[in-house]
Amino acid sequence: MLPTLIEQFYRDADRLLGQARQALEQGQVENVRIASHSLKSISATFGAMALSTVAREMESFARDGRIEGMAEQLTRAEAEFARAKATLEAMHYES
Amino acid sequence: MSQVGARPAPPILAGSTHPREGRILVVDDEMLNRTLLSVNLQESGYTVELAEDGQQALEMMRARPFDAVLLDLIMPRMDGYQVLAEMKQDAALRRLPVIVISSSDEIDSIVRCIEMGATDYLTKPFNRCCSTLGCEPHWPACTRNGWLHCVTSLPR
Repeated sequence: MLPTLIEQFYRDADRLLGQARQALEQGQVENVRIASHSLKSISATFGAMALSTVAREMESFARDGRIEGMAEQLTRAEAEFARAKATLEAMHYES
Repeated sequence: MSQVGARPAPPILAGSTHPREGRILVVDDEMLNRTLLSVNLQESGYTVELAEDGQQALEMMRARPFDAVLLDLIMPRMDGYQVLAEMKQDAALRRLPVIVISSSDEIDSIVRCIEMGATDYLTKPFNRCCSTLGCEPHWPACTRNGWLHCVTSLPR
């Protein structure tokens, strides 16, 4: 069951990052907040705490209506997602 | 209104390895969170039902008895705070143990929920196999009502 859930985590995180990116490009801060909140939640659930922390910062910025610096945060989030995915996949191959 | 919301907790001792008994309602708008908690709790022997928002959760609690509720806070339609407030106004539900699901950084939210009557809280991540990503597992001992401590020690 767990590998299936981890694959679902990859898909959901990837989708949420895409939604946040698109919402940011369209200036839809509320949609950035919604996507960031979900990303914060599911990444914490799977132990990807660095990703969760960046998502929490994005959520906080979006809640305050702050756009500046958000693109850099999103790039950091995408990088942390790649790291988390690599770590989880390495765990999978070890097990 | 009949007493459908709460019933006496099974007398399971801390550290027991026996299968657990009890019906637990997991309330979270994230499917992944609901599923992971559900899998863990079912492996421990609990019966689990799932709700994806507060409104659905209240409807389920009023329809049949549960032994505990695991409650997320930020959800569409009705959030966890509203659920807690409604439960405390409802004689059939006000004694039902509520364990709030939260992020470890949401201390203010946790305090607010405890003040509103929540029994305890559970922080993410839920599964210790995720600890190799650099975090510590956060399975709190939910022992205040004497029986739900064990969602914490699931072998993988």
